[in-house]
Amino acid sequence: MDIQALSQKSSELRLHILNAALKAGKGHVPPAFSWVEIGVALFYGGHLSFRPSEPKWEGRDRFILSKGHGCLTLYAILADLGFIPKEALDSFCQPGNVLAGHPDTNIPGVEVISGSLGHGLGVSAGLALGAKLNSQSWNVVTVMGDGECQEGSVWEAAMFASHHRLDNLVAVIDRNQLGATSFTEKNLTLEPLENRWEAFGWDVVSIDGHSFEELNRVFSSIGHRTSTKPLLVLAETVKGKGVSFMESSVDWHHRLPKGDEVKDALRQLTEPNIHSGLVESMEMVHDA
Amino acid sequence: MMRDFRDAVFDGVLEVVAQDPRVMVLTNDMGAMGLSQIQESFPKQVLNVGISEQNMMSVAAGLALSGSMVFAYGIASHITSRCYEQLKLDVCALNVPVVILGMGSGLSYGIDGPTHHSTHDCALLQTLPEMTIYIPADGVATKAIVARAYRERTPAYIRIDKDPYEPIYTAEIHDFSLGNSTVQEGESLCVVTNGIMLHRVREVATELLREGIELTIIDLYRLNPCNESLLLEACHGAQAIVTVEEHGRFGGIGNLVGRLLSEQGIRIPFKGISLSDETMFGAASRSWAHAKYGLDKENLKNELRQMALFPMTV
Repeated sequence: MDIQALSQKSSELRLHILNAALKAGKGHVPPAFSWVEIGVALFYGGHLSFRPSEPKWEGRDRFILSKGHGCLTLYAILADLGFIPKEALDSFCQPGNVLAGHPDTNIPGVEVISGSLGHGLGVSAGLALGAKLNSQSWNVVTVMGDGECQEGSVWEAAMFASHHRLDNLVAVIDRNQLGATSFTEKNLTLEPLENRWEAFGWDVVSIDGHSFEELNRVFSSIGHRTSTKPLLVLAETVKGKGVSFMESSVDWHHRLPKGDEVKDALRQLTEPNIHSGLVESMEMVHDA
Repeated sequence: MMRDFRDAVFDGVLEVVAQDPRVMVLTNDMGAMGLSQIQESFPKQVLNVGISEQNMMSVAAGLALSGSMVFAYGIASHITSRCYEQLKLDVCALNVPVVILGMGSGLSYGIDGPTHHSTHDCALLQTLPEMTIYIPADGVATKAIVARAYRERTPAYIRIDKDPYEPIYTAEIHDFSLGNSTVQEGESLCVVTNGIMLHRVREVATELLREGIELTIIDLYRLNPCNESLLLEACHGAQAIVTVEEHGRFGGIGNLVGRLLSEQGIRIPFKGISLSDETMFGAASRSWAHAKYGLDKENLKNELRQMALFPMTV
C-alpha cells in the first residue's frame, strides 16, 4: 500500500474501532487510536509476513500486542484482513463473544494473552531466542505502551534481549506520554527513555508514530538488520489521535463519547471516509 | 544410604536433554552439580537467565511457543510466587511445555529465613488447572516424574527437597502415572502424605506397629490433578484419615482430602497436620519448626495413635 492508502486505511479503522466500542458501551478507544498508524504500517505496509487464512503458518512473523488494552486496533486489523469475520467487531465485549476487552489466544492471529502489562517483551524475547536456536528466519515484533515501561519485568526482558543479541526482535513503544490516569512523567518518570533503552543495550530509533514515511523507513529493517542489537522504536504518538477532545487528555483512557461527543468524534473522523458511506451508517446506528 | 534429590532430578533431565536437542534448561542463577554436568556436555541447552524469575517464565513460554520444551530451575519459593502471573498467563493459559524444578520444598531452606520458606507454593499453583504438581519422595520417583513431565508436554511443577532421602521405590514396580500409591496397608488408620513427610510417617508407622496399630500410608505424589477415585479407593474402609504435609494449612493435601470427603458425603474422623500459615521469622530450622507445629516424630506418633485408638474424641 502507498502512503495515501495507508492513511485512508487508518481512518477507516478508527471509525470501526469507535463503532465497535460504542456498540459495546465499553473499550479503550484512545489507547487504540494512538497506535493505529503503527499497526497499519506493520500489517499493510509489507513489513510483516502472515497468512490470514492460516493464522498459525509456521513461517509467520510473530506479532505480540503487549499493551493489550489497545486491542481494538488489533481486532479492527484482524477483521479487515480476514483473520476473523468483519462482523465479529459488532459483538466486541458481548457476553460469550471471542473479542473481549483484552485479547487472548482464542482469537485467530493473536499469539499470547495480554492485558496485564509487562509480559509481552519477555515472551517476545523467548520467541526470538527460540527462532534463533531453531534456525528460523521469522521475526518478532511487539507493541508496548510507554506506561508499561514502569513494570520491572520490562527491564528484565530488555536486559535479556540485548544480552542474547536478539536482532530478530523489534519492540515498538507507543509513547503517548499517558498512563491510565496521569502523564507518565508526572506519576513515575520514564525520561530519558531513549537513553535508558540505549543503556540497556538496544538500538533506539525515535520517530513520529503517526508518520508513515518514518514508520515505513524503520520497519523496512525488519528481517534486514545489520546490527546485532534488538531494535527499540520509540514512536512518539498522541493518545486519542484523530479526535481532538480525546487527544492527550488524562480524562480519556477508557471513557467513551456520549451524546454530542459521538457526533463530534464521527465528524472529525469523517473527512477521509466521506465517500465510504461508513459515517452515515454509523451516525444512524448511534442516533438510534 | 542417603541420596540427594538433585542428583535424581538432573539425572532425569540429562536423559531428556541428551535425546532431544529442543529441550532447554533455564536457571535463575541457581547452581547444582548435576546442572553443571549437563551444561558441560550440552552447553547450548542450558541457559542462565540471571536473577529474574518473571522474565525467566515469560522467556520459557516464548521458547516453548517456538518449539522448545523447557525446564526452569530455581529456589521453589522464588520461582513460584515471584512470577505467579507469568505462570498463570504466559505458561498455563497458553498450556505450553514448561516444567518448573522448584528446589527447596517446604522448609528445606528453613534456617535461611522466611524468604526461602516454600510453604505456600502448592496453594498458589493449585489454582492453575493446567499445572500438574508433583511432590516426589525419593530419587526413583523424582527421575520417573521428570521423564513423565517431559513426555506430557504440559505445564508442571516438581517440588524438590534439599535434604537427602532414603530410597522407597524401585523403578520396576512404579511408573508414577496414577498420581498416588499405597505404600503400606493397615487396618487402623489411613495417612495421606507425600515428599519428605512420607519418610517420617513410615518411621512412625514402624514404631506404632509395635503397639499393634497398623497404618495405611498413601503417597500422594501428584497433588494436581488428584486421582480422586484411586485415593478414595485406597482410603476405603479406614476408621479415620489423617493428612501430613510440610506446607501451610491452605491449598495442600489437607484441604484437598477434606473437600473430597465432604463432597463424597464420607462421614469419617479426619485430621490435617501441617505447618501454620504464619510467617516464621528467624532461623526456623526444619527440626525446630517441625517440633513447633507438630510434624516431629514424637508428636506425629501421639497424634496418629490418638486418631487410631480414639478417632471420635479428636
